Amino acid sequence: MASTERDILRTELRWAVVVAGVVAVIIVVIVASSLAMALHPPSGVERIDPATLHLEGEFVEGNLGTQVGADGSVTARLVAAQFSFVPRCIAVPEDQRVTFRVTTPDVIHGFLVAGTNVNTMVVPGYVSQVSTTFNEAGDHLMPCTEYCGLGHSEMWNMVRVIPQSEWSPDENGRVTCEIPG
Amino acid sequence: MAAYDDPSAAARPEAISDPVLEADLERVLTEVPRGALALCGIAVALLLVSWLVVYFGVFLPRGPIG
Repeated sequence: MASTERDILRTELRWAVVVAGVVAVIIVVIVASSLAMALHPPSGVERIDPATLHLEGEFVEGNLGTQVGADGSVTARLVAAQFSFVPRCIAVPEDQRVTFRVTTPDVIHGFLVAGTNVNTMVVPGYVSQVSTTFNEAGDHLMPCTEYCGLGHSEMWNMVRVIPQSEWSPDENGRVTCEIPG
Repeated sequence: MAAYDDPSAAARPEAISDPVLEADLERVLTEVPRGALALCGIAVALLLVSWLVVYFGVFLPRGPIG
C-alpha cells in the first residue's frame, strides 16, 4: 500500500511545519505592529471607594464630562450606573489624544466605543482608563457591553467627535456636546 | 431475504460489503492525502488571509489604545 506509516508521519510533520509557520506569521505581525505603534491593552490598576465616589473626589457630578487640562490634555470622566452613563453624551476633539476615565458605584458594566478599539470593563471599586485618538468627526454609539440588569439594553451613550475648527473649551476647560452656532 | 437464524445482516459479509479490488484500494489511498492537503492548505490560507485583512484593514485603522 502506498501510504505507509512513515509516509503518513512525514505528511503530518510537513503539515505541522506549515501550521507553525502560520502561527509564527501572526505572532510576528502582532509583536511588530504593537512595538511600532505602542499598542497595549489598558492595564493600570487604580482603586476607588464605590460607596463615596459620588460625594467626593474626581467623580462627583460637577466634575464629570470632558475637561481640557492646563497642559492641553483631554480627559473624559464618566460614571456608569444602572442603567445609564453620566453624562449621556461625551464631546471629544478630532485628531487629539483623549483619555477616558470610568468607574461605577454598583455592578460590572462594559465600556465600548463603537467603531474604535476602545473596549474595557468597568468594575466597582476600580477606575478603568483608556486612551485613544479619533481621526474622524462624527457620533459613535457607546453601549454598555456587560449584562448589568434588567435595564441593560437601554444603557447606552454617545461619543461626539468634534472637528478641531469647532473645538472650543469654555473658561474652565469644559466641553459639552452642544456645538456653538 | 435474510434467513431467520441470522442475528443480523452483518452476520454475512457478502450482505454488507462491496467487493473492492486491492489495486483499486491502493490507487484511491495514494490520491487521498494529496486532496486532503490541498483542502487543508486552501482552508488555512483563506483563514490567514482573512485574519491579515481584518487586522490591517479594520483593527489597526481604528487607532491604537493605551
